[in-house]
Amino acid sequence: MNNSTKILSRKDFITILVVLSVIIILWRCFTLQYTESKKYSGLLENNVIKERIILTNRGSIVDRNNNILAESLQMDALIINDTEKFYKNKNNIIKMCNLLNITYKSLVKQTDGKENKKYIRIKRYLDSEVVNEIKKLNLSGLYFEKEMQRFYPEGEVLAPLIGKTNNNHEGQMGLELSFDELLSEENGIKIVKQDGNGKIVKEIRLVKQPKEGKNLELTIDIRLQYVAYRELKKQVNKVNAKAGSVVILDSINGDILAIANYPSYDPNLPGSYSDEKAKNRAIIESIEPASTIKPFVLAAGLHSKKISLFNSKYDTSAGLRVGNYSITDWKNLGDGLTAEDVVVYSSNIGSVKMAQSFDKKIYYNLLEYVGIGEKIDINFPAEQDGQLNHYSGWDKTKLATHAYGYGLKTTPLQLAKAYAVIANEGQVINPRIIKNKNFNEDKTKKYENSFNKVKDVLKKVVTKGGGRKASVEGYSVGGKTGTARAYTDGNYTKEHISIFSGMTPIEKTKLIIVVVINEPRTEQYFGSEVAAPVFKKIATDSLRILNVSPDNILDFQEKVSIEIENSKKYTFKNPEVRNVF
Amino acid sequence: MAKGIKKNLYSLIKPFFDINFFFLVITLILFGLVILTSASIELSYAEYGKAFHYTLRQIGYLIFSIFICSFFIYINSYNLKKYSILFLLFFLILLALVLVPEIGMNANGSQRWISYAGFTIQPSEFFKLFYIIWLCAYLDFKDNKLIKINNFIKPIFVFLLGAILLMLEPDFGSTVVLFAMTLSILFIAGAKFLHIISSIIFMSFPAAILVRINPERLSRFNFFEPCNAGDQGYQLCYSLKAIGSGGLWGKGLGASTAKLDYLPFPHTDFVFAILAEELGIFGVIFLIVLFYLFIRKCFYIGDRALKVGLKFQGYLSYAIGIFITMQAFLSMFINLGIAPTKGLALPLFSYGGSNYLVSILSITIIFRIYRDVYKETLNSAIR
Repeated sequence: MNNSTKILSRKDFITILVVLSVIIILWRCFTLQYTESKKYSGLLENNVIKERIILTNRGSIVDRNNNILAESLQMDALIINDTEKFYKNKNNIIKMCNLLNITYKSLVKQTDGKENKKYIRIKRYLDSEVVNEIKKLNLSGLYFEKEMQRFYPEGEVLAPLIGKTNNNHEGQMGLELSFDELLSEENGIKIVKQDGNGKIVKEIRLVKQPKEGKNLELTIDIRLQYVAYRELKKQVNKVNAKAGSVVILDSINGDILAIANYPSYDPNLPGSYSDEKAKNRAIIESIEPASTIKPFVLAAGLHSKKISLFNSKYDTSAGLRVGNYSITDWKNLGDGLTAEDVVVYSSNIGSVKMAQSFDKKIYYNLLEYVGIGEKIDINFPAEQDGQLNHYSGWDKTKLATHAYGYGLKTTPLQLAKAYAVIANEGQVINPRIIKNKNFNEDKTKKYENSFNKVKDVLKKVVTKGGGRKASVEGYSVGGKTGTARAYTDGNYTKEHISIFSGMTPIEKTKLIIVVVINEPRTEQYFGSEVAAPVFKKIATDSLRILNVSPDNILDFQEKVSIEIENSKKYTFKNPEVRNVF
Repeated sequence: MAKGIKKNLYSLIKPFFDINFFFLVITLILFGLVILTSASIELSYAEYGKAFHYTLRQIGYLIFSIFICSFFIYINSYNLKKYSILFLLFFLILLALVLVPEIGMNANGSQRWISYAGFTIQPSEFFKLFYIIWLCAYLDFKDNKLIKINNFIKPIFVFLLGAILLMLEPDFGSTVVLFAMTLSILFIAGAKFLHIISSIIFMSFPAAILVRINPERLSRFNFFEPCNAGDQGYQLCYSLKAIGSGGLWGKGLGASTAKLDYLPFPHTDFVFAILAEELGIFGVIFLIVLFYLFIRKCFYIGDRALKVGLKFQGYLSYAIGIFITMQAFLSMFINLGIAPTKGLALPLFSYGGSNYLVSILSITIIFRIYRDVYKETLNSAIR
């Protein structure tokens, strides 16, 4: 009995221990869940309730036929947030490395010493296929983070025009910069409940609705753009030039169909960028137009009635001295040059003499009318004005230089606009890069008769003058070559700028194409040799692409008949057979 | 009329089958399954793509345990006492085999499991139970002679043998439970206070040496400000955040946020934290009441056994009551940051086959003892 009571008392001792434990547990629970509850729920909420950004798309840039030139896509970045969990399954990690195109060693290197970090970004911009494959491997300790990437499907073909975005997905240069406000998206914000892996468990509330950026529709025709870029690139490399640019303008409505620049870079490859390659010379580089200005001297002269196309004759054989300058021609063109010949054979002396024969105000007004030295304002960053000084400041020398294209400056795009005025026989069109259906066309024409005549002269430049290499089979072409001295840091250098500015077809002109090749380093540097052939190739392909009907069938037929003649000569020697034709 | 039949049936069964205890156990098992489902659902979905992987496995373990116990219940407590030394040796060998590299299985840095033919068992869980059974049997043999130091030291040596094997895994938590069980049973059986206190002092030396060798163990004691203790405090930090954020009323069943891949092992070691977070202090009180009733019932059955002179059965009832409840309270202590963070299951709540089977086996033994005590009462009445 004594023994059993002893045991019972010992049982009570243990019961007391149990009760004591219960009191401790309940006391601890009460302090945690009542007194300190707010502190701990706050601590937990800091991890669980988070603000998340709702990504949305920046607007796309498309060409006139809705081909995508720049677009934003949601991509995934691979984030490791728990290295310990992650490195459990080596076989699958090696499979993952193969999918990511990285080595296991480099992966280990990336995560080495970051065991406590919750965010190690392994690789960015993964496409969804790779992501799905990796998800199938069932690895833990990692997740995918959505992010936006800007894609430029046309790459270097358009880079200097489109520009690119910076790392924050904001416009950095080119049209991406100047139309940033339109294209910009506004990311939304939401409050979410997330798990320890950063995965969203529940969306609690929306703080800000995301707003997609608007699309930008350009007048560019990517087919023409591609042709222009291809031919420009070929020629720049062939003549070992420093750079080059091409503008294709629709002379009917002013749509810029192509602006090609070379060298260029691929905005999809961050490493290929350089400031020099990003320059859109067609818009931001002012050059002296040299001989390409002569048609306007002629037009002004014709307008002044002081000059007539065939009756005004100029003697260029003796050379010309104006002030301290002596003006020369590319070769001695002799005496008796008509006004037309001055342009067709590109005589500097003739052009100066023409300009001297009428009021300089008329010439200035005409240049101003066609837009030389006036900013076009297509809304492109750092677009150049060109340069045209007021005629009141023109002395004899300056008038002379203005007559053969020096002392004034124009961008290739402005030159294209000016030539469009010739093509439209006096009607000014404003080049535009944004496709806009509500286009107010100002149909007033000035200098109509003069430009009409000049247009014919330009045709002759191509058929018998310096522009022969620009001729296009089956189409009539008008244009003017130009070769300017290159100008750097306030001094003329030994280098040249070769220009060809032309239009096709002559009647009902559709295309204005300006080709500028900067500093070709071959023996032939004349616009007629370097720039005109590029015009020919671009025009040939562009006209075919745009389905413009040939207007020079006669010329075409002549050629065909010559071919037939030749084939007769070689194949059909029998006179009877010949009669059948 | 119907009520009368029901009452008759009740009084018919009651003498050899403790219906109250049965309902208590059923409540514990069902409550455990509900909490486990809630605690494991997110983890299960993340790991297996289905919500009830752990719940279904646990139900499988339950069915398997009941199946095993339906045979085990036929071993009466006298035979259990007789063969307890064989069970002990068998599981001691298994415990040693765990340490053999080709046989034992390593996970989370501990070598605790043996995997054979698709079954994975954790011998330490079984060893704990069968060590207790052997100890009770031993004390019955050495009845009333426990005051002799020799009889006191022998079970301490057996404990040391087991403890060394456990520490090699390493399994510090089980070693502590085993040591506490040894002392508790010796205490119940009437060992001298002096012996018990001196053995505690004696055991504190190797414990101190272990801490010196591996200071990481000491850093686990940094449980006052666990959230500032870096990686070591990570688990406890989230455990406290979970319990604290629940508030007195809890977030509601299934509404835990800590289980969303923040709190590690929500389905095993930290299942209590999820319970406290979801059901608040009232859920905790309910849980404690269940375990308190459990130990009370075990003590009551133990008392009855001792009264009819069944010492082994009496000690074992006490021991099992202490065994289950102590593990439960220790697990709660760990979750609440009162004891250093050590992997320890909450019996009948935490996921895990071996622990579940051992818990059900312990309960089965209680049922068997209840029946044997009833028979003994009848026998002694006849005598």
